[in-house]
Amino acid sequence: MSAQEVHIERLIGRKIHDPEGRSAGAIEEIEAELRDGEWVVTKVLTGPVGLLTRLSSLGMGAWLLGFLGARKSLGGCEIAWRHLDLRDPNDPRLRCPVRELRH
Amino acid sequence: MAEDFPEMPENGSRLRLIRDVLDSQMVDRRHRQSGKVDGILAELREDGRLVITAVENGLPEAVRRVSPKVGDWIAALGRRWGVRKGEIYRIPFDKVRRAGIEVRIDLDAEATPLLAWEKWLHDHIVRHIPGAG
Repeated sequence: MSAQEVHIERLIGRKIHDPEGRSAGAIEEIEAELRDGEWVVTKVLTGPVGLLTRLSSLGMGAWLLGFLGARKSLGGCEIAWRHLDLRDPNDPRLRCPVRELRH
Repeated sequence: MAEDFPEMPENGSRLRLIRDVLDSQMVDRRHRQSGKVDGILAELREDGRLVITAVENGLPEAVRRVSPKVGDWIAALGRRWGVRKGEIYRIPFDKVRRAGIEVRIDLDAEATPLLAWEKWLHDHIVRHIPGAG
């Protein structure tokens, strides 16, 4: 089996579902780490947390939402790569229930 | 002017691919603007790792994000009439030296199709304008 090609930019906005069918949010940001000369994807950020991270305004955005009393509604997850199943890039899946993720 | 080009980042360095790479301006080793990053290509390896392999430049790739079908049409039009013949140019990710507001790429854009449109515009339009250098 040869390596499968994945277009990172086409993953943006794709919703991730867990094995129980619950949504873990839409992909907003993808983080990679340099390991032995190769950039390896290590985590995916979803929802408003991911979006604010992408806009470099997570700290200020969270503070502002807290100030406005909407902090609880700041959704989204940080999903470690090991929890993701991307064999079908059009339908990314979680390998664990969404409640086990760090929000 | 080949110069102070940044070295490969250290092991363990992290990169936000959407914020720091996608849609960023590419700058070659001679500091020439060389188009934007329209796509990022990765390989899902047999061991389960997703490894970033290349950045891509080309209008069809940018449009495919919005509509794959329209992207395919633009690629077909490009193959027929485009300066680059609809070619999506791939730059190996190990040529990417620094990402952020601009992406520094360790190559000479002059030797690639990245500047094809600039050259075409220069040869067919700009040089016919009186006073143009």
